[in-house]
Amino acid sequence: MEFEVTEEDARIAWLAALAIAIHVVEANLPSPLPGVKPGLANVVTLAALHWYGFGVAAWVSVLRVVGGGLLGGTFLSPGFFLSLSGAIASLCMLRLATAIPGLSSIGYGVLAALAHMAGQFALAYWVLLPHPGLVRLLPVLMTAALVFGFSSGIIARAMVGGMDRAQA
Amino acid sequence: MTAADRWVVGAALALVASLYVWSWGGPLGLDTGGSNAGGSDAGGSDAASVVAEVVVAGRPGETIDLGHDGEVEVQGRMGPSRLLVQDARVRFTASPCRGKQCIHSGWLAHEGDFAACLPNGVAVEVLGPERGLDAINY
Amino acid sequence: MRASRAERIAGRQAQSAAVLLLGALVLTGCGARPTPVHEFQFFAMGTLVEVTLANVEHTAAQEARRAIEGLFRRAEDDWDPWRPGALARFNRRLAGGRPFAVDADLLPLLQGSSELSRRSHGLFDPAIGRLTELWGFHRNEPRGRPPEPEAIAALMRRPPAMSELSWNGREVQGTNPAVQIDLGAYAKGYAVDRAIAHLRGVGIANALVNAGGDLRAIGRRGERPWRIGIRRPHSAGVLATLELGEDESVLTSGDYERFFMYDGKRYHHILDPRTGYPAQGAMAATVISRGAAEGDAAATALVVAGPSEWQAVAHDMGIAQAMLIDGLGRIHLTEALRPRLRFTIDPERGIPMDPKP
Repeated sequence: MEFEVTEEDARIAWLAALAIAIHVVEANLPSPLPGVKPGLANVVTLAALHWYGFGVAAWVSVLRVVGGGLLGGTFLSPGFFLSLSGAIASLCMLRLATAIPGLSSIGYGVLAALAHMAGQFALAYWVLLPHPGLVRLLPVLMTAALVFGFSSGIIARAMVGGMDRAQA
Repeated sequence: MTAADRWVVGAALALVASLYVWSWGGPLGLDTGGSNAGGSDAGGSDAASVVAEVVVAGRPGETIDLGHDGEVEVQGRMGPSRLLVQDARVRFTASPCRGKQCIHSGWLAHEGDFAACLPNGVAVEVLGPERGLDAINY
Repeated sequence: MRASRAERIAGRQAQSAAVLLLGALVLTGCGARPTPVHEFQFFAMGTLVEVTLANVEHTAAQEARRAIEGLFRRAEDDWDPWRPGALARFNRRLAGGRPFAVDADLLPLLQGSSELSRRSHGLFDPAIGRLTELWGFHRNEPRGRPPEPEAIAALMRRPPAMSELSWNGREVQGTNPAVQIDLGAYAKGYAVDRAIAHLRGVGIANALVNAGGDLRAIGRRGERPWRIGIRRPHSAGVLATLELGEDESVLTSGDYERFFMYDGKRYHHILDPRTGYPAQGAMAATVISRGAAEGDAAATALVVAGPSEWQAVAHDMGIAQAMLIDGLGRIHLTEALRPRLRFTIDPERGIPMDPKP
């Protein structure tokens, strides 16, 4: 049996690989607040979104979570499901966001990051640890998400712009 | 940054700001006169009636009296988490999770201070008069 | 590149949103505030006294603080038999054996505790001051070793008891020189009652006075009732919580409040007036009553009564809501108290006993 590897598959593969690599490096960095990571791997997702559209970006995102989980040894752990719920929420948001005209990677980055954090929080609060105290963390987490979403958007935009110019 | 981006960022800022207001109960909601007006002979803390609540996987668990030093062990999803009470503060000292974020959260002393070991399903929050107990009888 | 018209409109819209948000933030601060509450604490009568006043403004709270602190200091001097005060003088004259008139201030305490002692089948008996002194529990730091059995036996040959006071109106005569009145926690409860009465008198209707195990609360804490935690014996944890009514006292007596360990055994301050030794059979008792003084006498009596007699004693003392934790950690409750307590452990299973006491 032969699989035909399309050009799209190849794109997804290299983007996902890049995202996973960044994810694994980031996972080993210490984080000041529980559950808060800069989300640098999101930059790859945003770039994928810009170049190849939502479908590719979605694949890259999911592959990143699963691959990062397998490589990091956290597959199917509570941390893994937190990542997954964040990724799913952020993808849903991105799908909706593509309907807003005129957004650049910055806008997508902010929306995706907020949704990502919200998705993680929702899982943490309703499934893992229903506790009112968690609510007090939410604004802090969302502030961080906003900051990191904004910066990953800027980075993505710069990266995309640079590469587009290089190719032109 | 496009105009649409600006809209998104502005809306995001508004959302986050309103989250602070909603979850922390308002920045101007202080009581007049303040508590412990005039201080106390007991070294300035109302530790005797401050408690911390331990929550395990969503169920309310032990309530810890921060007025007395000691150690508490809590059985979580993955195994036992250990808490230390000292000088009216409490902290995680041991937990079976990988990241040890709970331990890195350090000492919890004031009303609302909170730490959690998510993988183990154990959380600790310091309650104060508004949400907890007004006095301990012993 | 100049922004297009659409982009400029979007920008203005974002600005108005920000202004509106700022306005909303300011307005939320003007909304309902949490109840203004004043708390103060001080050490008196061998314990930390905490007072919480709700819905009281600053000057009234400060005045109340001065008054209550003064009240407890006077109580400390006058009602502690080991300080030079009214009770010490009373004990001296009592030992003299001749009838004498009792101070007006001391009278209600003596008569009240006398009556409660009778109803407690003698299990609460303030006349055992000598015994308490023998064991060293009259000091904040107990001596650390049990007295010689002979010393206890000598005292118990003619056990000192409240019933050995012979009353005639305001006059009293002592018939047993071994009698020394130590009102103990009853005096604390009485001071709490006096403090509450004072607060009521100056128009403060929502307050909580907590002197260690002697607690009384009136009114409510703003929107909700006063909420009390009952500590778990020998532990930092809270065993159960309960919400108080408009005027109620919670009293707990336990073998962990004042004790020493000797030779691996625990010797605590709640002495059994029948044996002269620390009461066996119960770790702690909690009582809900109207007045703190009467509740305190009951809590003490219940610890002495133990699991076999406690219900009868509670009944005779007019206590309907009580909890006893026996020496094995089992929790006994009266039916009236059961629905009010919210336990943090399963009460049926009792308190797990540590290997070390």
